[in-house]
Amino acid sequence: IQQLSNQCLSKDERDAYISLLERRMQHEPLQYIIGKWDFHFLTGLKIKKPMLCPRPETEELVELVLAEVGNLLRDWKEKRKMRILDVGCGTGAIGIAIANKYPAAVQVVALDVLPEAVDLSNENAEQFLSRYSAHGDSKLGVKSIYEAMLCSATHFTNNTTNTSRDLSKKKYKMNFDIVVSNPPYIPLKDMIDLSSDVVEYESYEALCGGVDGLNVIRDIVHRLPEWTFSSSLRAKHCWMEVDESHPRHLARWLSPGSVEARRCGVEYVESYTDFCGRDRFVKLRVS
Amino acid sequence: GKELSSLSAVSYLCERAAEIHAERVSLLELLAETKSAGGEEASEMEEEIKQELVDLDEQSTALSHKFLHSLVPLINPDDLQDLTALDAVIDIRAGTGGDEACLFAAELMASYEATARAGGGDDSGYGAKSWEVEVLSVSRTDLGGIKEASLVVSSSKGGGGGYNSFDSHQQEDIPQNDEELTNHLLSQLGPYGFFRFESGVHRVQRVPVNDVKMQTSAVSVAIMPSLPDHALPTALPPNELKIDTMRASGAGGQHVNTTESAVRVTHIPTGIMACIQDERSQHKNKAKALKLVAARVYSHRKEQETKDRSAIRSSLMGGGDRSERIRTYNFPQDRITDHRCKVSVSGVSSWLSGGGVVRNFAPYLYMMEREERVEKLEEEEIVNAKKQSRSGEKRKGSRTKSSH
Repeated sequence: IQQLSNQCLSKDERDAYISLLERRMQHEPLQYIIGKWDFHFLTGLKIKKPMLCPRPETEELVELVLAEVGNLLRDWKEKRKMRILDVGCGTGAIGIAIANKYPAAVQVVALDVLPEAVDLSNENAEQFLSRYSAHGDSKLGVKSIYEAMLCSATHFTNNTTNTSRDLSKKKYKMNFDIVVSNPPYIPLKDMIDLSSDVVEYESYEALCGGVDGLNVIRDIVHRLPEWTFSSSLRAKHCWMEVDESHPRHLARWLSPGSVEARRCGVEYVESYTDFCGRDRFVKLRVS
Repeated sequence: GKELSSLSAVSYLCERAAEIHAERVSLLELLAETKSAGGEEASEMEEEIKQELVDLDEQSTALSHKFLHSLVPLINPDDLQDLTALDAVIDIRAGTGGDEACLFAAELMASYEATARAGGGDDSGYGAKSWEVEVLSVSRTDLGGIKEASLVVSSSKGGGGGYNSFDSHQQEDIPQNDEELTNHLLSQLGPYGFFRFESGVHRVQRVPVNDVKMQTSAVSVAIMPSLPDHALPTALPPNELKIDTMRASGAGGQHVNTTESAVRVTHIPTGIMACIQDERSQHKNKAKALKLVAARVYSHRKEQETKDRSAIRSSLMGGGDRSERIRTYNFPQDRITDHRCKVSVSGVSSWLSGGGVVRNFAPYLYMMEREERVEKLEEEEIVNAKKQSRSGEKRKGSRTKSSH
């Protein structure tokens, strides 16, 4: 920093700097201008418009899942890696942060409906996780640890094939051990209150969850039993970051023992607050 | 087991001492006989005997050295775990002296960073361990100084040379002289043990850059043990902590995009807190803040314990007084003086930039601290002896009474 402050900028550098300032004056998010930011222990995660810039709350979601992964690993008897599904991966932040902590034990499959998000997630995975894939599954490379795919929650079934060039016709086993998601959850009525740096730059699809904000969350709940199907008696959990208004809705809808919970095959377990004391995270169990 | 091997080492030394004493006695007898015998052969013998006596004295000195090391090791056994295994958190704060103090604080910080990165080794790399330095927070001034900074020095496998208290008290391992003793000591110390005597006020005397008059400034340093991550939840239970972030207002979550990641952690019972905003990841800032608060709380509690315990008049046992002036760096006279062990070295700039200051003074301070422990032991001995003789008299007295 000392050296930088003493440097004199060339005209080109000055012009470049000023154009960046002008972008900021238009309320463009800083993360887009710089092109990267830090998330959890990922330093320099690439971030591009219109994917959602990871929020600090989401770091807590990662910590919650990491705690469960740690617990499961203590009694892990399967010969395969633990499989985690990240729905709505965006920049890839959540899945990659988890894989970064347990690269040898975990395999993440990530979904998004935006092709740019899929590409960005795979790019970030390459940056942070390729160092772990040097040995062992070297044929698959990073894909043995993390793989993002273009697909919506509703359409992800055991018949889904990956349409990307290098992995076409690949199918995915529906035996995920943990499902995690930071789905679009802002209720429609709140969209109008968003500040310009959010609403003018970040993708609408990544933010708005429909009238009550629960659209994508409902899609996920309906798919959970199919995604986590296995003969094991181990409890399968789904962790989600949600709007403040959601935990009580979900607690009512999927109350353990209720008709709906039995019909969906999913039960509400509990919610967690974020560092601001807001109801932010829910834990569901596939029953 | 451990106690047995340590005692066996000491008992071996006692046997040796007895042997030397016996030999000495017989040599002296021989000397007396030879002297009284007289004659040329006798005077040659005398010389030989005298030479043997000199050798014996040397052995005796070496033996008492070993005795001291066995009975009262340089590293206090009570603190062994802390001093060999724990990482160090270093707090540096510029004191009186304005900009000058801030500039010196920056130099001191650079010096500690260099030392830490060199793993506590000397210029040639001897004795280097693999340590890492991480800056937890730093507050810089425009002139390149620092108002305050916190660093953590950690060793990758936790500690110095894997010292295992009394097991290595083999006769060959016991250092023969001061240099070996120093190297042996330094090789065992972990980051906390190595830096611990840097706690206190460092005074600097020099002419500031844009002035002609000499100025005295002060920088205070606090060295605290850094608890390993897995120990944090026990040491700092979540219900004792208050965590503040910049997200307090508004809906939060996806509603708001922010790059403000400052975190302030406050330990409610003690009021100790740390605010970190250096990292872009809020999670990392929180991790750093917790580390810092844990170290400060641990250190604070230890200081309280030391104060509460019966009067220890020593300044070094228990870590020393943080507000005590411990060292002066005099630039015009080109001298660094440590006021505790009264040792001076010359070449301020090279000592600072090379980062060898800590390594140089630490052994003296450890030896000083050991002397204080020995004194304390001697005092206790005297007190115990008095008690015993008093109780012996009492018993005699009561016996005499009852016989009537």
